[in-house]
Amino acid sequence: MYTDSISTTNWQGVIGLEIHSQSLVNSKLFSAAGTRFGAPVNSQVSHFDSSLPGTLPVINRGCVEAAVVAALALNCHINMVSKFDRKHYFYADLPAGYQITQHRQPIAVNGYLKYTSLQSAKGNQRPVKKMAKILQIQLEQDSGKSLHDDELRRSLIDLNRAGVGLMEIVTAPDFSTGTEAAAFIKELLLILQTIKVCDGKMSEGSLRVDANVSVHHPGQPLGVRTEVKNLNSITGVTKAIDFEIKRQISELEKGNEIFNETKSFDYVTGKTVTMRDKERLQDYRFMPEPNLLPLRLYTNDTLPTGLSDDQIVNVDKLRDSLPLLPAQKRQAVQDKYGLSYNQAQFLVGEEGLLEYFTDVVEETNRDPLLTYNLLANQVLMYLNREDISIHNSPVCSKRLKELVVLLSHKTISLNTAKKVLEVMFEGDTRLPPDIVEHHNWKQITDPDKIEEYCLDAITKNHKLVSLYKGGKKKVFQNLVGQVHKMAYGRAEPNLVNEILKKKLDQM
Amino acid sequence: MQYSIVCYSVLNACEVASNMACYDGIEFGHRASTSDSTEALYASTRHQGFNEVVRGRILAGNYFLLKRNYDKYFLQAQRVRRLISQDFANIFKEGIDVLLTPTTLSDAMSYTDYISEDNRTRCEKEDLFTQPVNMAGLPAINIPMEISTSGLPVGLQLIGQSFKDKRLLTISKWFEHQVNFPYSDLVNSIE
Repeated sequence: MYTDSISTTNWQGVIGLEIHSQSLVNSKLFSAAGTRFGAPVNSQVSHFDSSLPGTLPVINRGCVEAAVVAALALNCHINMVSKFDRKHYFYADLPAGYQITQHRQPIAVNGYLKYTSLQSAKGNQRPVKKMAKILQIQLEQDSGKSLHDDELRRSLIDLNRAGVGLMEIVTAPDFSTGTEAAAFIKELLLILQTIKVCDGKMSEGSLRVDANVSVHHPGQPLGVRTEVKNLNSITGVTKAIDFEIKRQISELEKGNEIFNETKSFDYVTGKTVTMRDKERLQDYRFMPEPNLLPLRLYTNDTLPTGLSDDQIVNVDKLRDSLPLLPAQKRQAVQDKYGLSYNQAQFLVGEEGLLEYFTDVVEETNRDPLLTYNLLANQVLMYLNREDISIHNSPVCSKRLKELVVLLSHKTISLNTAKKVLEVMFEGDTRLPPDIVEHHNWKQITDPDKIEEYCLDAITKNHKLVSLYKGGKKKVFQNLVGQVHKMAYGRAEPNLVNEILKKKLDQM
Repeated sequence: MQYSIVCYSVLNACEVASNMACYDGIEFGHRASTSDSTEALYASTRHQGFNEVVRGRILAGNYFLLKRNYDKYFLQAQRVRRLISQDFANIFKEGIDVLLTPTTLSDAMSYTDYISEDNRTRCEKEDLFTQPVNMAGLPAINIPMEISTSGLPVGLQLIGQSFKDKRLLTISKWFEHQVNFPYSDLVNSIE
């Protein structure tokens, strides 16, 4: 809900999303041309892709299976028979003058996705469980790319992307803010990556989002909507939607109308902009694709005779092959290790992180929270700084495991653990116990030794001691710091606090 | 049969409008020299590259496929098409193997006579016997039978059952053998 500073009336944003996800398949939806990102211009274009007369579409099994698997992961009803249509419009990046899509009878309908959105209230952020309905999933072709050279007044067309298999995922208008939409997209991306149907690289165009945005007063009919096209980053989704909502509220409050137009998002100015050539309402003249048979899917009970295995897509078989989905993984982590939702989400959210974590925890059988903190705070900090993935971490799970053992045995302090990590990240390939031994970093837990350091610190810091005795309790920390300095950071912190306080109070 | 030609005109135009959409002069073929805008380039290229008949079919086809017309024209034509297809199926179910019909209304007419009517009217008349077969998706063949009184060849159409192409061709070959049509020996007559 937006309670705008401009007015006192409550406006609510209403957003529906259309997500185009490029299927992670080696060839295109209807031709054998390749789909590699970044290939030389117009080097992955078959005769069919460039719409030469006399060519026919042949459906790609991998794309069909990808759509089925996605539909299963998104709790959809799968249409065992689905059909293809032609959507006609003229554009230089659409050689045939039509896109083959599934308008009338798509491959899947009526699904849903549960996700968590962070809502801000009174300065705090709390996770709220939400659910968005998925209206349908359809198979369709991607278009090519066009670059407009305004200076030389020409357009450059690259057809490498023309015909690449897309899954269009259409949601119901179940979102009210850019934050919610972005949270949904994040979870969707995670799922699509987990089931390996999309690589999720939005910056490479693997996943693009169109947002249909309108505003209304709760309880009143829905407002006129605008469409913001081709959002290719999560932050872009949030910003574009929030801007568009504010813009519409502002216009309506001025007494102006909202027009049903198509907009794009300018990342530089942070504003949505009307797309000039899409001002008129398009009639796409949908027509059934006459060159493709209805797409038939089968289950274990309906397997046809007379067809070879590679001509059959079996939904049951694909369902059995589904890996654990993020929601299931998160729940398992929370149940098994007692971590919070956010901590579980952190581990599940990045590829390879959960495996790394379980490697360490299983072996050490120690407090998972300790491992989590070390991993999330220290290790990830280094990895993010150097922009390395967990797979390429110089500190493997085996070495982190040894470090965790040392920590939980109180052989070293947390500070020392951080130092050991730093040393390992800088290139030291030895095992943690050896490093600790070498640097003489073993934690000092002998109370007598610590007492020595405390007395030493007290002797050398008269001023601080008098301040403390005089009532300035805050300077205790400074004195603690002095003790640690003298012990070269190896003194066990709790003991230091305990003993120092005792000594000071005795004075 | 009288509905078939109407049904055919609608569906033909729709498919032409759709299939001809690839002729934009961008990837292959003729490209006009207009440089005002992509849209102007498309319009000039396609106007120059298509003749009146094709342009007429494209315009009609796009009209029939508009959202507001789709059910009235395209879907209705498809419904009629199914009826035509069923008509043929019913006939064949009665035990008939092959249908024999004329192919054309008369022997070939002169060019002057042919162009005395516009293409659409002309096709509507002359394609009477051949296009129902396209509507029903059946195999059919024309066999030259005799020379007419004007000295021009006349053929007859044989229509077979769905997917029974081989049987149709076998029967056709027998027919050909029976009528012994006086084919011109073009090769030797040139020499």
